Amino acid sequence: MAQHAGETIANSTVPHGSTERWRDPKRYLWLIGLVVPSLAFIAFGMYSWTGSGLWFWIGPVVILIVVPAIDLVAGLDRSNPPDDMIEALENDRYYRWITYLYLPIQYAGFVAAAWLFVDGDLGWFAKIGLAISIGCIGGIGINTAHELGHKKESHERWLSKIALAQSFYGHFYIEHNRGHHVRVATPEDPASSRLGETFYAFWPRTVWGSLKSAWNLEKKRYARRKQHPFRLGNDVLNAWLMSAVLWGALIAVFGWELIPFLLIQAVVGFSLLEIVNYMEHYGMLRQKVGREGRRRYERVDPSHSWNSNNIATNVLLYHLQRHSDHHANPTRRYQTLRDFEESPVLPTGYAGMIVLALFPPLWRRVMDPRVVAHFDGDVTRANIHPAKRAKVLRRYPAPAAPTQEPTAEDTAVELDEVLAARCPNCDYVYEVAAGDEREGFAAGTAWRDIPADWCCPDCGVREKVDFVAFDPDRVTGPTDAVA
Amino acid sequence: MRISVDRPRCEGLGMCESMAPDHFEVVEDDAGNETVDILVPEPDPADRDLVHAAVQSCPVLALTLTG
Repeated sequence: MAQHAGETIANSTVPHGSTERWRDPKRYLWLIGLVVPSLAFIAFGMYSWTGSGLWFWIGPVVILIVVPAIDLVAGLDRSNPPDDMIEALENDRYYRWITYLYLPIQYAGFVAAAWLFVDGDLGWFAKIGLAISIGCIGGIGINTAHELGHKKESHERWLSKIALAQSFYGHFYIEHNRGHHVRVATPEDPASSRLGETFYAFWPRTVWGSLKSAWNLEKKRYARRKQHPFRLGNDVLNAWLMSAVLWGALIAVFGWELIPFLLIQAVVGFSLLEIVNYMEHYGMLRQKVGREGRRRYERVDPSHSWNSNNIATNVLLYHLQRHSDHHANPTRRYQTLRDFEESPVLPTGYAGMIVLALFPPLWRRVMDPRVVAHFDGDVTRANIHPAKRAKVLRRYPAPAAPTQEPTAEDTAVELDEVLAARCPNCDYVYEVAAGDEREGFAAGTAWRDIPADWCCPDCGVREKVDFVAFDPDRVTGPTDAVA
Repeated sequence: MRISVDRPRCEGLGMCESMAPDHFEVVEDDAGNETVDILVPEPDPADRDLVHAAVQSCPVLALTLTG
């Protein structure tokens, strides 16, 4: 078997040759992931010791403050396992047991918190904190479910659904694998956010879109067999049933007072997942390729996901931030995910980016220029939120196509003397001598007399201010556009 | 080396085609359902990594690579 140097999808073969013993430096660090579900017990313990209900707010404090702070000081980890160790590392069961262990701790905390919420004699402030913290644990639990749900082993897929039951988000497992992974970084994907889209606009689109997508996938699966989808084998229905039984049993035991707890923790849980979804592919767009009549999206490559090597979040989220490798190799286990040189990188870990995403102006300021730079300054190659398209294009004017780039002489044309101007988006040309009767500009209407808010009549996307002036005698524009 | 497909499992999602368009293509079967057409059932060993990755990526585990 030949060695495939510089190749990015080498999970198939293990090149022989290296006999050097390599040890995984993060082997024991992965245990830190179990600190998250344990936060519930830390809160219970500290509350009974100090009597302060503030401890019940431990979940958001850790995720929004402590982990981002550790990311800032602990720095980066770009180490990759050597190719010849990957198979052994994949097969080492120690790593998967860590993910399985998340579940009993998660559910022990969930049930104990339910009891405390109803019978614990807590004030409303402590109660809300408790529900939010349990929601955070459930939300990170969705990440554990994500890791398990990608695996080929059926028991791991079941564990995935169990982890999702707490947040009533069992349909995620269907939508994510069969929907999101297929359509990632395209406008059709409800779970890929668009440039200019705030988290608050993304949230309803992804929550509702993912639900619809999951249902349609299962409906279609049964329709192929000419069966109706209302049966227990429907993975959306059986996952929801699991949640209904879990919630129903808890309400039966603890009473109706538990309902606010269940609702708050579920919304916090899946919102935490969705805010992470929000940053994973922000603005990324796969281009259309293929022959005429059979256009398809290009293959997912490392450039379609935002990555981070901040070690604290990576350890807590099972390398979720090595997102490019995850999309290239969805069944690859977390411990073997690699960092790719060419992957776009976020300024800090996902945890810190959550804080930014909560404040859209801050998010835009940090992320939008990075998206534009990622596309070499050409924002039209990004996945732009349709409602913000004109605004985004104004803010980040696309460079003209190289062949039509104005020369230094052209740009030196004084505004008063503009004889022609070209739309940088569609190459429509306004020529003063010809005017544009359709637009109500008689032949000879000077460029300075065209209203500032006038929009390109052909593409309707760019405004006067974006037009590139040129001298029609020196540069030949596409004359048919001046009809 | 041979690619085989578990026909009832395949949902024609197109993950394999997006990864290895020269080997897989989603087509409509007689009933009008999308399903995969394996263009090269016995791929060139030089394409092993690519084909393997495409097979691995199938979300419904309908593809297998043997040999």
